[in-house]
Amino acid sequence: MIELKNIEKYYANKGVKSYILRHVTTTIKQGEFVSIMGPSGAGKSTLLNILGMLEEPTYGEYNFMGEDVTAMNERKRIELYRNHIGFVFQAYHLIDEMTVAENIEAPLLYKKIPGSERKSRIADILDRFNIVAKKDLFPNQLSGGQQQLVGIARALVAQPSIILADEPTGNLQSVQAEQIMDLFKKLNEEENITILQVTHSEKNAQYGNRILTIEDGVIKEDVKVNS
Amino acid sequence: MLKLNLKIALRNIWRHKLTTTIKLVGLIIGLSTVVVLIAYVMFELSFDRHHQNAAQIYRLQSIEAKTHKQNIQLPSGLAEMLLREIPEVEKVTSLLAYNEQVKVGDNLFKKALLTTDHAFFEMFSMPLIAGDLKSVLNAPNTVVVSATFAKTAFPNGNVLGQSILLENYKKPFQVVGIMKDVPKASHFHGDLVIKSDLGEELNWRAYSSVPQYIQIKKGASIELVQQKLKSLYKKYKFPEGLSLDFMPLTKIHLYSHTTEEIEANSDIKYVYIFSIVAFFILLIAIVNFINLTVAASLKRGKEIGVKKVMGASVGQLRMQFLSESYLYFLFATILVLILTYDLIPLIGSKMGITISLRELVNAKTIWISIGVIIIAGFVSGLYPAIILSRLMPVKTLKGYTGHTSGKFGFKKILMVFQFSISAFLIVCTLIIYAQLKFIKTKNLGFDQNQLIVSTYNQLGKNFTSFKAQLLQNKDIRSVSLSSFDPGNAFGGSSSWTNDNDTTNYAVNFIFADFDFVKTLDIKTIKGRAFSTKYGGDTFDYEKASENLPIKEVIKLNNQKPILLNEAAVKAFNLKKPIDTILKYGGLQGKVVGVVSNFNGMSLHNEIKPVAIRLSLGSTSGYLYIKTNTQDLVATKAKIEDIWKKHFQGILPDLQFMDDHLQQLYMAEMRLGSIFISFAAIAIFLCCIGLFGMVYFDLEQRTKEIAVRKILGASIKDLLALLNGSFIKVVLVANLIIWPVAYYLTREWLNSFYYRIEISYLPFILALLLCVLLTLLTVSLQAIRTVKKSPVDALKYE
Repeated sequence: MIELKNIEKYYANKGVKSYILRHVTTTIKQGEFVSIMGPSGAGKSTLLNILGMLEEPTYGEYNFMGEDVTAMNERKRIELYRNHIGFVFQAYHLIDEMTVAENIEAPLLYKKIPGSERKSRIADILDRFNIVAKKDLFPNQLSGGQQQLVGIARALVAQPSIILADEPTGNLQSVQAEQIMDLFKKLNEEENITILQVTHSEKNAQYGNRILTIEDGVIKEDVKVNS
Repeated sequence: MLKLNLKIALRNIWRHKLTTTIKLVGLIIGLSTVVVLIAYVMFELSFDRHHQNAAQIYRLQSIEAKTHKQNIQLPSGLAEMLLREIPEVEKVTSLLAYNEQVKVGDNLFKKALLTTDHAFFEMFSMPLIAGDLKSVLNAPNTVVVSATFAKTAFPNGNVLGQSILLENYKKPFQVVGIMKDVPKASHFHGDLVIKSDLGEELNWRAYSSVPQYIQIKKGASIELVQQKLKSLYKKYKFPEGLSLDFMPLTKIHLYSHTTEEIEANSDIKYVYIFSIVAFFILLIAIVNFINLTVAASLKRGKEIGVKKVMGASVGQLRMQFLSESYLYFLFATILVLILTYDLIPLIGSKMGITISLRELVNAKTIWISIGVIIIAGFVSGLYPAIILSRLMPVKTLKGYTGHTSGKFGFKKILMVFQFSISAFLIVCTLIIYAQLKFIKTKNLGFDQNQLIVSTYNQLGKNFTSFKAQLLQNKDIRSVSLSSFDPGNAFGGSSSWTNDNDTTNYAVNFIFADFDFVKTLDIKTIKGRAFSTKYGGDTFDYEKASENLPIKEVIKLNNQKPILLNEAAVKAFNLKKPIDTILKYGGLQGKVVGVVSNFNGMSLHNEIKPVAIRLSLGSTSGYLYIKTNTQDLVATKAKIEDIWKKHFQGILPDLQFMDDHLQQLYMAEMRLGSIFISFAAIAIFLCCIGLFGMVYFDLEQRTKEIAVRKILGASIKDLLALLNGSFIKVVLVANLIIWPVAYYLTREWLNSFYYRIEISYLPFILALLLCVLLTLLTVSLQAIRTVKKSPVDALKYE
């Protein structure tokens, strides 16, 4: 579903190019659970941002579901956000002024899903994540793990085909982190949702079925995991 | 979606109470000022538009070919001539207005009397409450009264058929109608209307300053009338260089500035000044709103980023921020409408206009105000909406807080703009007040203090006994009667061309009694003032010349004593003025003394040559009473008592000379009080805007401040750092506006012949005031942040 060909990203400063990514070429298929690993400053997050279309590569080809992203207009990109991509952030990024239910509802509003269906989908996902009791609370009234649960619920409610997660457990304690990773695994296995996560943790990386290791902007390793 | 956006907006408003308050207060003050000014401008523009035929009515006036001076003084019967000769002219009337003393039963009133004719009621919309509009004023000795006057004069309600005695006519008039009160927005007002007895034949020897009006047929154009008029110039022997002009009725109030207006008019200049100032005040408020919204929403970068990756389009985000701005404007508008209800009369009285609320607030004003608010809301919401929706999620999600990259970003430019306007208004206010103070304290060449003046100039033969009794009072130093009406007229004038050297001479005459120079305390520089000690002064020239041949009369007239002011001596180029015999056409007599120049007219004008001539035994003219006392009010009451004994049936009309002279500068005083109010509003808006900006600045720089403190910065260093960028804004703003303020105030001062020199002081003061307020606004907040322990700030990260 994702095809990267020779992706490069650099910043030119006083004529000197400083590379973030170099010759990144890879393919990610529907249903894969990929972990991107590597030391700080290796370019993991930039790669994820490019995959999430938050940043544009300086050079190279990126096909998402058979379409060339670099040639894509704003409207088409918004279309993809609405229907295919779900984001999960390290700092959760829930909207502080909205309740849990409202945060989860927000992407459905942009998808223009009718009110009755919105209600049933929210009820459904609150139920699945066991957070029905918390639906009228504001984010700052929740623990970090709970906030990340809401964050994932929000990403899932629009029924995306891929979830992009940037260190989803980076701010969490290990018990909560395990819960989140189990949830990802379950979503990947049971609902065939493609998951791409950036992580520092070897342990978290083992939840997936493929690990990409990046060093100095170059893919150093691409290994399959058999769990 | 809208519902959710509204909910978020309300929660945001509620959560950030401080910024919400600042934004709302700024908007409310700005919008209120604008609504009040819209109401005022609408009022000024509405003058005389209530007449159904307003578009067809014109006032006649002349234009001098050379000077382009407009003048209402025209020969009587001119309008009637136009009615006869030009078919497009449908109706004509004339309108004399003055304050007449009227007597109803035993009660005396002083009321505005309009002398006109029946056509007045046909041309102008003057609805009658009682009486027959078709025939009103057709019969002689009839009067129409206003509803208000009818109520005060005839409290029992029985009005029609009653009689009213008019002082000047010495005969009773029968009430035949009651008209609705003339609206405030009218260039004439009156409580009584009677028929005029002016002749209807065109008479070039009877110039009168009674305005004449014509009404042209519907569909006819005034240009056509003007064209047809040209052929009449010869037929009716119009004097050379005089051409007739038509002033549209609805323009009289704002565009006509002749010396014979029925009432003091306003000026379109003020409408422009108010509109411009209102516009700028609104801009200051909008800038506050924009700056604070942008600053506050940088904290919402995360919300924007998340929404974008969830699939929100830029348009949707813009709509969200725009509707949030409108939410503020909605709140503000409701409060503004409530507030201005009380504010309009208050500010109105500040501006020297006494108009009631009902007259100012009408549907039109409200719609225009709402229109302005909608546009202002759009402008204020648009910039933040564009800026915010443009934020890239990749940055905002990483905790980007939006430090503007340039050192002097857009928000600083906006602040410079705000402070420029404030500084401009402060400089103008200071200069206007300096000039007003100069006017008040300027040595006018005569002593206006402890001087009482009466403008009732028909005292009559009882004046002698009145004066004698006044002088028995030890508080009264002297009493004089003269033709000099301070600020308005000297009494007479003459101009002629010298045949020898074709120099033009113009001189004003004051006809005065022996005590004039003494009473006004005018200095005699050379020679002497008039005195009963000199036979040449007390000699009755009029009587002596009665049966003399013309040559002898001229000889006799050459002996008439004359006082000249310095300007006249200079104009006539007299080396040794005393005992010079003046033999000009308009001025004959012997110069007995020279008095110092004195400002008899407004300080807008240069002192003109004046000749004071003796008028013996006159009993008409303006009365001057010089008192010895500090207690002017009590003395005035005493004089009024004496007045009542000698002039029964005439209401005393006494004014303090300094008050009387101040009335000459009503427009300037009004301008002053407007500028001081606007300057205060502008600087206040700037300061609360600044307060908000500092709040966000401090929030963003908490960490920076903490680090600097650890590195050894003192509180003083930090305050200097935090103040520095804002002080720079204020300095730049002031420097930019100085030339503009200098130029415009100089233009204004140029309308005065006697004026202050613009010094650097107002500019420095304005700058200091701005700097001081900025230091206070910044430091009061900053000191708290700066004093905090750096540990707290650094722990957050």
